[in-house]
Amino acid sequence: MVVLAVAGCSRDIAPPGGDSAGPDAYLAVLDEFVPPADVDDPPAVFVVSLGEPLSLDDQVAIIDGLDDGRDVEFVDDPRVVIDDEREDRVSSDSAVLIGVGTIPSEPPYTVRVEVYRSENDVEGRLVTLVPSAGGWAVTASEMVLPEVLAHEQ
Amino acid sequence: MSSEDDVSLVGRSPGLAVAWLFGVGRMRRLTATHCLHASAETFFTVSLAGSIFFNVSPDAARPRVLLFLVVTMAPFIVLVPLIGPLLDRVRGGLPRVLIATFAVRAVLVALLAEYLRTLLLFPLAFGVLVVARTYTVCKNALVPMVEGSTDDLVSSNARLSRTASIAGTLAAGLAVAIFASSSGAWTLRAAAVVYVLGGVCAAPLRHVSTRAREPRSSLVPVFRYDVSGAIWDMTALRAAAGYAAFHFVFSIRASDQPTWLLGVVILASGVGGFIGTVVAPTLRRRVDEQTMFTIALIGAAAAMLGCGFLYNRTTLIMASFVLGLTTSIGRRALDATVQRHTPRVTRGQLYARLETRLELAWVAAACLAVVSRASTWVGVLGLAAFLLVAAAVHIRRRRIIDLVDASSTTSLPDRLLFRSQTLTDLGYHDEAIAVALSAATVLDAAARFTDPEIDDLRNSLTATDPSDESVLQRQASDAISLVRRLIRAHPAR
Repeated sequence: MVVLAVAGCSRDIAPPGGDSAGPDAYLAVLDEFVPPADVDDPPAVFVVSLGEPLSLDDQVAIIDGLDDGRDVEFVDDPRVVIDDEREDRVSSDSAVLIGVGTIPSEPPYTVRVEVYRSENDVEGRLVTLVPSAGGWAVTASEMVLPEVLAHEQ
Repeated sequence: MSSEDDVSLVGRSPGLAVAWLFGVGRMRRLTATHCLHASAETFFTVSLAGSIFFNVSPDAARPRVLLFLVVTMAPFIVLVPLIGPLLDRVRGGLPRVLIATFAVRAVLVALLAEYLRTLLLFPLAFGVLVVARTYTVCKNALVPMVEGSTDDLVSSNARLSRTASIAGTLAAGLAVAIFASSSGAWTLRAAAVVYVLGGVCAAPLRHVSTRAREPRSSLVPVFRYDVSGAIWDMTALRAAAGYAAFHFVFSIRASDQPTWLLGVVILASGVGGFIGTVVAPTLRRRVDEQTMFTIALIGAAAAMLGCGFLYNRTTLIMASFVLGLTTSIGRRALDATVQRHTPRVTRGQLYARLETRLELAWVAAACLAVVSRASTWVGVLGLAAFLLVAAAVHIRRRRIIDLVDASSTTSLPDRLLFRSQTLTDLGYHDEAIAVALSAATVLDAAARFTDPEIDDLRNSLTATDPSDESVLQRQASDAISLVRRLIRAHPAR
């Protein structure tokens, strides 16, 4: 039991590649794009990394921050939620897939975000954040052509 | 088959129905305990649907799952050499450990209810897993010691599995209802209550004596080719089950398949296991244990092969069902083999050791599944290849067993001659010579004369360098030829 407890408190065996900001920064970015929370009929929010995969600890922290009133799920491959075979696949009225790049650990804190709502509704953004007293704040959001999620269809 | 195992009598009276479900005597207490264990485990499993595991990405979860699988192997590696002394020196040690597993799991799931949506899910859930495995080892080691006067391991174990499956199915309905109406946390709190009930139910079992009353030779049954072969066959099936469990969890989650498919696949495996407990005793009346293993290994391999080449949801569900069915049949065949070839007083220790090995095989295969990252159908084909190899090894071993297991109507010198021939075919030339000389000695005594060739052979054996394989092989051939000549000259009466 002691061994299990120590192992449970340890970080991931394989730390994420590259330096990146913590989960609070990702929460600030994702908060701009997730649908409104609805406790009675929570919308599905799928999140995929466009850059370095987020660590298990970061994913859990992000889920904890967004999960109230939403069903948040991280996926490794965006095709698994875009593919027509999946019954709870992303569509404009039921779910959204958000691809988020790696937020650098040093300024400028700019990250690519792509939002897939349907085959004909894919949005790309370059989002800039700054650290603030309460955490992180989004200061700019520039529209760009989606590169990853638009090609995954 | 005992009367309480005859399903046709169940409808005739409530007493027979209870006996069919729970057995008689102390087995009734152990069966009830096992039902509570199965019910609590079902509550625990259902609650995991609300855990953080299904929200994080499969690749992010793999390292953590692999870590805890490896960590949970450690207690069993330590347990293997200690289980014998535990049984011998601690009065009622085995039942007390079994009771303790309920208490520990009650505490763990109560804690897990508070941390289901955090990273503490992993150590707590795997803690429950390792303690549940410890319970399984203890329970299976205890069965030979509490079984009724019919002394039928196969029926006792089949009844335990069958009744626990029924209890687990009923518990699943209740667990799903609690989960749907409240949350995974409340399902876990209900599991904690059931674990406590299980510990209370198991309390009278602490008076069961687990000490051996006679000098034991626990190595002898393991060295019997058919018993050790049965253990290897069951190890292959158990490893296949462990690999399939974790492979399906990760590959289905990582694919575009809906999440409900995972639940159906798991359910299919459980249904197959239950049907196996009903089918196996009937099968055993028609074929021997070796044939049961042949059917199980080839059946499982064929199902995986079919699923791999014709992959779709239906074949995947069928493959999971067949794997559950064949693993259950293999389990009953192992019980029957152990029952037939081992002294009753040694079965407890033997079961403790082999159950621990089976659990290690399950965990090792599960680790492989987590690491492999193969797609569902590729993993299924890999599993098919493994089962085909296991089936081929089993069939080859079975041909040797058939050679060794000569008819009881054959004379002793002829039987010894068969064994000598088999031993030299396997490369054990020195043992082949010793067995052939034994046959010659029997013939000498019967014929009331001493053949000088026998003395020459005996003397040359003691003078030969035991590492000189070519000389030993020639001497074995000479010894076998000598015995054949003696048998022809002095046929048995």
